[in-house]
Amino acid sequence: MECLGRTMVDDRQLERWFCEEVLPLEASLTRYLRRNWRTAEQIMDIRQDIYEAALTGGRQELPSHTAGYIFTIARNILVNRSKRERIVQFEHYADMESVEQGVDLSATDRHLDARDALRRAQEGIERLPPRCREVVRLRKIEGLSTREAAARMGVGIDTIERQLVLGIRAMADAMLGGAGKIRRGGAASTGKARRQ
Amino acid sequence: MNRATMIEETAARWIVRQESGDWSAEDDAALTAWLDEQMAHKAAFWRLRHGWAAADRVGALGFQAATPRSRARRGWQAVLRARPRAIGAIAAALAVTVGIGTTVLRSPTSFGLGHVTHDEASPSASAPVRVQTPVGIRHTIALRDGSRVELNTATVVRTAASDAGREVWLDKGEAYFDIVHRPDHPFVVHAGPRTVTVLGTRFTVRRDGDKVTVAVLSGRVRIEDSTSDAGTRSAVIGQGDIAYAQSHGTLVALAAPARVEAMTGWRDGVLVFDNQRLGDAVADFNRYTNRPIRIADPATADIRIGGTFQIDNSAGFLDLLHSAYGLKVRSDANGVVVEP
Repeated sequence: MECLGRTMVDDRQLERWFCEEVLPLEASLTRYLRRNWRTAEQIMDIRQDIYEAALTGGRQELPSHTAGYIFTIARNILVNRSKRERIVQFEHYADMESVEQGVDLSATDRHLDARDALRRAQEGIERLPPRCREVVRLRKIEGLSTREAAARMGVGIDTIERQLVLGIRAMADAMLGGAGKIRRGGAASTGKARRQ
Repeated sequence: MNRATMIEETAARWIVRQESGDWSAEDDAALTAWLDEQMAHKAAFWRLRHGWAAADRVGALGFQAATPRSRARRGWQAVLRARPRAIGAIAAALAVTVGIGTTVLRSPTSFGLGHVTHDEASPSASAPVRVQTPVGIRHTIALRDGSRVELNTATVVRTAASDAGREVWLDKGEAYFDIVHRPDHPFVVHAGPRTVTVLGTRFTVRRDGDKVTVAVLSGRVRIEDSTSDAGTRSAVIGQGDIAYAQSHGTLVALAAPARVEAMTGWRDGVLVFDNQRLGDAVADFNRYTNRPIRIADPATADIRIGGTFQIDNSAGFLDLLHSAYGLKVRSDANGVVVEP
């Protein structure tokens, strides 16, 4: 669409912006969502919606103030959701004014130093279930391939891959400032009853 | 399974496949097609790839397969031991975090929000440490064994400083415990008439005089009546359970994870109410402020409310009582009064 004089942001630029500008906000964004949305089970879905909207908008043009942009999207998505679900909860009115506060907090998250990153890595790996931890260790520290890891642990490749899927999700969450706990698909998600 | 989890799992499987070694041009085309289907796919894939790459830092930890935890802990203790002797007594027992960021304690006077004193009359033998939070302040202390204790508003705890000292006295208030598992050495919390014994878990203990409430986020704890013979009055509770102990006995609420979550909302700076009496909700708010809210009549106190509120925004809470329930809110010399 170059003829319009405004080129679309390409995927490489978009990914770079997303990783360098948006993802460092994840910890404060999650905190903000937790404070403003009551159903903990839906936080991850909402966050995903926010990222999706941020990328869709960012593809037209990258915003100059990423934090303000992200928290505005977050606020709009929360408002729309509460309207859609027709639940009028106090917190939607009580806390919406504190968007600015969330933006302030995010400034500190962006300057994560190497020591903090190391602490996140350590806490993340310690929280993994033992078998998953071993698989992540073999991959990240010893650099073994899936096949080599399977041979070393005396299990099937399927098992290694399943543990790696868990490990990738949990470690990514931990490195982005989350608790490093992920919900397994299927059976585990039914364990927690919906509260609403 | 919700949508975000489903997409995330698929994205993670793509990363596993891509790293597996036999990645073909067709695979690459299939991945591109999947990514182009939805922006949500790109968001999940990029996020995981970025976070997973950042996790390469675990390589720098260099822990052993057999004992990852103990090796890491030992390294940390060694740092504490290396501190100058003058501050050794406190540093040996505590590293301290203030507010949201993490600060390592330099000297007793630099303590900032929390307040630490040596207490000669403490039950523990060598150099116990007392930590106190003022009204409205939260504060985390790190124990030498790697366990963490997060103090809520208006709370007093004392810790034993000895090497074997896995003991904490909760004199007043509420605290969240994240305890490092040591099978040979249980961790003990004394809360007035109750003793809580732990083998590695996360839980909170709240003390209002003789009333002790224990909520367990993970693991198992044993609650004993310290005023009666050992073993005669004890309860073991696990993940998602809550024990309410009063002088006459202990009531256990099993499998109440939503309630446990609500009870630990203060760690995120929020109070969570679910169909609770306004009177109880106000009492909860009042723990965090020196200007208490009072309710003028019993009928108003019985109104049921729910919702999540920021601890430091009682004004927002009061506004809502006014706009949602038509209650009158006025200030006087002693605090705030809510009337019909």
